[in-house]
Formats: sequence, C-alpha cells, structure tokens
Amino acid sequence: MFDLDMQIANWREQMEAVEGILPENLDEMEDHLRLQVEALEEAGLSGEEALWVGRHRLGEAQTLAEEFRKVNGGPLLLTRLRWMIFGYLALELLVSLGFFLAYVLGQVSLVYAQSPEIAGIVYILLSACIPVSIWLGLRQVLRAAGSRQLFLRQRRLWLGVVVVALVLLPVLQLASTYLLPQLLSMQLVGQFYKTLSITSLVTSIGMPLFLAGLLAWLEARRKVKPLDVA
Amino acid sequence: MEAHMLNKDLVAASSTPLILSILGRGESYGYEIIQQIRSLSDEQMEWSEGMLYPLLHRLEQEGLITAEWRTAEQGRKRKYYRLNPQGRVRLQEEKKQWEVVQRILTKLWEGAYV
Repeated sequence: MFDLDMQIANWREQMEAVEGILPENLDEMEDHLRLQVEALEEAGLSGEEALWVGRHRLGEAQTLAEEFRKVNGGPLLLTRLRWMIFGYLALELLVSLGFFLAYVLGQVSLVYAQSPEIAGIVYILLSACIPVSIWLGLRQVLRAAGSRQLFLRQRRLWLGVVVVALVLLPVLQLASTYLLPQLLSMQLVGQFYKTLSITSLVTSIGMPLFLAGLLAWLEARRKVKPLDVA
Repeated sequence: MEAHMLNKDLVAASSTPLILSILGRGESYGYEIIQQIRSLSDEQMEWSEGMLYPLLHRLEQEGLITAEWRTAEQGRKRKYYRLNPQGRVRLQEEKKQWEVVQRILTKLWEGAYV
C-alpha cells in the first residue's frame, strides 16, 4: 500500500544525507512537495505517480545541496562544529575509559605480583587493547541496531553518558591513588608510576604519528576507488 | 502551437526580477510562486523547483524580502515571503535594466536601424 508520509520521510532522509540542506529548508520543500502531490492527485494521477513527478520537479539532492550550501554558510559551520565537539567527547570517553580500566587492572596486578615490570606490561597491553575492543564492540552494537540514524538520534543520551563518564572516571582514579600507597610500598608505587609516565610520553609522540598515518592510508584508499560512471 | 522552453541562462538571469515582481504584487510562498511562473509563462519557463528556495534565502539575506513562518491548513508550517522597501527599490532598478534590453531588441527586430 502506498504510504505518502513514509515516502516523504524517505525523501527527507535522502536529502539529509547530503551536507548543505538544513532541516528548515526541508520543512519548506516538504510543504511544496505535499502541495504538488495534492494538485497532481486532483488532476488524476495516482499517489505514487504524483510523488514521482513532484520529487523530479524539485530536483536532485546533490544539485540542490550545492545551491543551498552557498546560502547556508553560517548554520552549516555550526552543524560541523557540533559534530566536531561530539566526536571529541566520544573519543575522550573511549580513551579515558580505556586508560581507567588499564590503570585499575595494572594496580591490581601490582598488588598481586608485587612487580612493577609485570604491572607495567599489563598496563601497556590493556591500554592498547581496551579502546580497540570497545570500539569494535560499539560497531557490532551499531550493526545490530540496524540504523545509524537511529543511533545518532540518541545524541542527548550519549552526550549525557559522555559527560558523566568524563567526571566519574577521574574521581575514581583519584580515589585509587589514595588507596594504592596504603596497600603497597612507596617504592613499588613509584616505579609503577614511572611506567605510566613513560607510556604516556610514548603515546603523546606515537598518537599523532599514528593518526597522521591513518589519515594518509584512508586518503590513499579513497583515491583507488574507481569513479562511478553511469 | 509548439511550446519552446526558455534556455537555462535566460531562466537564471530573469529569476531575481521575476521573484521580486511576483512578491511585489503581494506576499506569497514557494509553491505558489512556482505556479505563477508556470502559468504566466504558458509553461514555457521551467524551473528546477527546489532551486527557488536557495534563491529566496539569498534575497532574504540581501535584505530585499522578508520571510515569516506561519501555520497553514492541517497545521502544516509554511514560509511566506514579502517584498520590503529595499526590495521595491531593487525591483525598480531591475525593471529599468530589463526595459533597456527589451527596447534594444524591439528596435532591432522592427528594423528601425536596418
């Protein structure tokens, strides 16, 4: 059965997928499309035909977006900024969660093994593996959820999670630094912290290099992709 | 009579004076503007209809027209546009320029200078 509302929602999603057209622009064009469909239906076309003609008359998403980008400069910049902040917070959460778990488990192994070397190795391995596994797990969840849009619409919820985690994790970390010297000798704790400092030094040098490499790799892969000539 | 579609360059060049003139007759909204152009041109001027909106927004940014969201039938939101004083001044300028073009072409075609 032809469902106009659903078809129009589909059309909006296709338009939204191209950067440049704002939701407000789509509200305006949706009204246009609906009026057009009503007029064509009155002229004897079926709902499906009317929608097809109406969409065709409005134009292709790419061409329209190109024109809208010229007049939407300011608001578009804001949209991009919003996504940058969102991305930054998500990354921060991933990294600090990984760091926190590695840090706590490193301390636990220090208490049991009484060896700063073993604790250091545990810490380094975990701080590399945990963010990666969280990321992979998250991707799996996303796939299972089916729609990326559905996931992204929960923006407020995710923002809340990020903010709580970003406050909660450092507080817990602080608590553990008070706890640790009471369980272990100061010398052991000192050596463990040395490992942490060296790791963070290596990370702060290695991370930018890794990210630059990743970008270069993605760029190279993009170029290899053949052009879609219809 | 066979209908000849206007070429794209001419459609683009005339879009601003067209919109200003239509809004000069009274406020309107996107779909209605397109319908007016369609009927006034005896369907010889075809727009990629979506393109009207970036153009309206540009005229709004230039301060020539004023826009306002209102609730239309069935609770639907509709954006109405109207010409403001600055737009009227611009419309007069556009009118003069198009009249010059029209005068030149008419003289040439009537053979006054042949």
